[in-house]
Amino acid sequence: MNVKERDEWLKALGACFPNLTTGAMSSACAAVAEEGRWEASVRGGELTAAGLRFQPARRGAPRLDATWDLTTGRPIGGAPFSPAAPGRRVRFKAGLFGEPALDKVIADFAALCPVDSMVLREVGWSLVLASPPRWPLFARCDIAAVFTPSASQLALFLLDRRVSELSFDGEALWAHCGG
Amino acid sequence: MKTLDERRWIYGGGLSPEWAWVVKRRRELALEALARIEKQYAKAAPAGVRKRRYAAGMRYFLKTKSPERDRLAVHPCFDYWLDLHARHFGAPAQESDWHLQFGLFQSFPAALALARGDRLDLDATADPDGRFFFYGTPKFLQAAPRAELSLAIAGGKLAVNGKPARFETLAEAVPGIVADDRGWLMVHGVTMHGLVGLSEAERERFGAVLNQAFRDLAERDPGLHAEMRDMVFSLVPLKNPVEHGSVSSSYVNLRGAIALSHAEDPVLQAETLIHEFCHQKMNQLLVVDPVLLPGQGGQVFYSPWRADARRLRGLLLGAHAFLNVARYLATSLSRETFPEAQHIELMVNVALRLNQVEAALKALTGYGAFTEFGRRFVMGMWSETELLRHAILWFPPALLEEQAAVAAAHRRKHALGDTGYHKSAEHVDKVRRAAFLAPKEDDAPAAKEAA
Repeated sequence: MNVKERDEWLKALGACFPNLTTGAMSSACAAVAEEGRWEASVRGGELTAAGLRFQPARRGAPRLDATWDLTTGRPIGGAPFSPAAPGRRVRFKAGLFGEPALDKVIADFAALCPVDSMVLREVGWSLVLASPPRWPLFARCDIAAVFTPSASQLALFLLDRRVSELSFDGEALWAHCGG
Repeated sequence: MKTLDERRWIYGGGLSPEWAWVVKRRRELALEALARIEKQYAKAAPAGVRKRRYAAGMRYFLKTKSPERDRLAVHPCFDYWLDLHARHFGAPAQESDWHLQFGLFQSFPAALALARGDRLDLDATADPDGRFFFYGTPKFLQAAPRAELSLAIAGGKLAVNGKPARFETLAEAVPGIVADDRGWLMVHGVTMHGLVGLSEAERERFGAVLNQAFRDLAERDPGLHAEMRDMVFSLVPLKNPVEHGSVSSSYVNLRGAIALSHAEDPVLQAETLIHEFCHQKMNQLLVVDPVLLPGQGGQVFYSPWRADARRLRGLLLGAHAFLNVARYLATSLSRETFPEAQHIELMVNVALRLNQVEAALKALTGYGAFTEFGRRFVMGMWSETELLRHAILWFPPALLEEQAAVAAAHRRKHALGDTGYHKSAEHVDKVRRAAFLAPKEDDAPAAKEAA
């Protein structure tokens, strides 16, 4: 397990969002004894939530998806551990959504930041990026406009880290960032 | 023509074949759009609308291939008419809207037939202010708002509803460029600043100062002047409510119109004309090359000019416009003797603009993704900025230092650190920073705490 990577994210979260009660979450994180990748997640719109995600290398292993309410500082939802979210992974191609406006935004985005694959879920979807762009370059894209209201705040947290995946959970767009 | 030469687009390149090619492409797109509209009209116009002879005007305009028609197809009101159609006729429209839209269009074929001496009979509609314009000329008719007009044109003469027409005229700042505070298709889209209705004497003065500005431009920047005379048809006077030096705007759907407030200073008016014209020129260039790859409007960046933020496209347009302004002012300073206060003011203006252009180019090159032409264009602007530094080596060093400090203070206030990101007014820096030996007063609270 990349403990340093995990601790780096917890430290960054704690530094940028002093309200967060990360103690319990730290313990939960420590329980993940798998090889995998730690990522921070930020939600679009007003800056009201951020998260820490563990993507296990082993298929079917528990994954961690913890999110915090940045206003109260408390974790959102119940147990942060869950099986890998079900979904259908497909090779990315333009026009997958069948909605011209959305397809255009995503096609423009894919031209700037190539997309490897797409995970389609019952509610929502994810775009897995082929060569993750650094946050400041990702943020210039039209699709990232939902992060604009908190751009300067997020820039302090995410620095020049890379955006590996975008997901839409049915309500908001999330950007997941690796090291 | 396949490859654009960035050097002729950074500054005024005159009426070169490349310029003509871009204008031709714009014209082709406009005429293609009109041909589509004509077809849609034939299919979808209500019976009451089709009774009027609007189709005759569209047909005549589309089939009369001539230099006069080609000029009218790139008139700002033609731009705006197409834009209005795109915005309002995608969904079912009321019959009165059809009459207004297609009745107003007849201004173009009527002006064309008058200029060519052709015979043409058509029906038209006066605009909601009760005027009917003959674009490309300063002439217009006065009528009742939305009046139905029956036009008979032959041998360069016009009869309206069976009587010889009595034309009124707009003032021209220079031949072919009118000062227009009345044309509905011209002023309806001017939304950024308040319009102002001028008295006859004020109109004359507005035009006279602009005339002087054009004459100065012809001598100091002939390339830009030639382009401006080719592209600009109308100057729309604006209100200057709080007595700023100048207010101005231009619009992507009104290419060829510049809106600006009156000022008595021809140098200021020339500066404003150059600034807005550069935006227009870039908007026209878009028809052949977007410069910035599409899809990069998601983030707001630090604007070296104002307290609010700009998208990458805004930084590109701003850098281009202010580079041109700075060069023009530097040329003016070297060719004309100004009163001392104005002389200093102009030097300050050039020095400040140069720092601002550099800041914009820094963000553009740091964050933007460009077309092949776009890369050459931005690199070319960097080069020209550096060369302009040489042109002003004779400026007092203290003045240059002062303006560098002014630009740096603006950056400290509105940029996130030394990045190109805009620091919003709500931004609160609570991040604990690495300690430094001697934290300064304006360091973040968290940094003080850490120290």
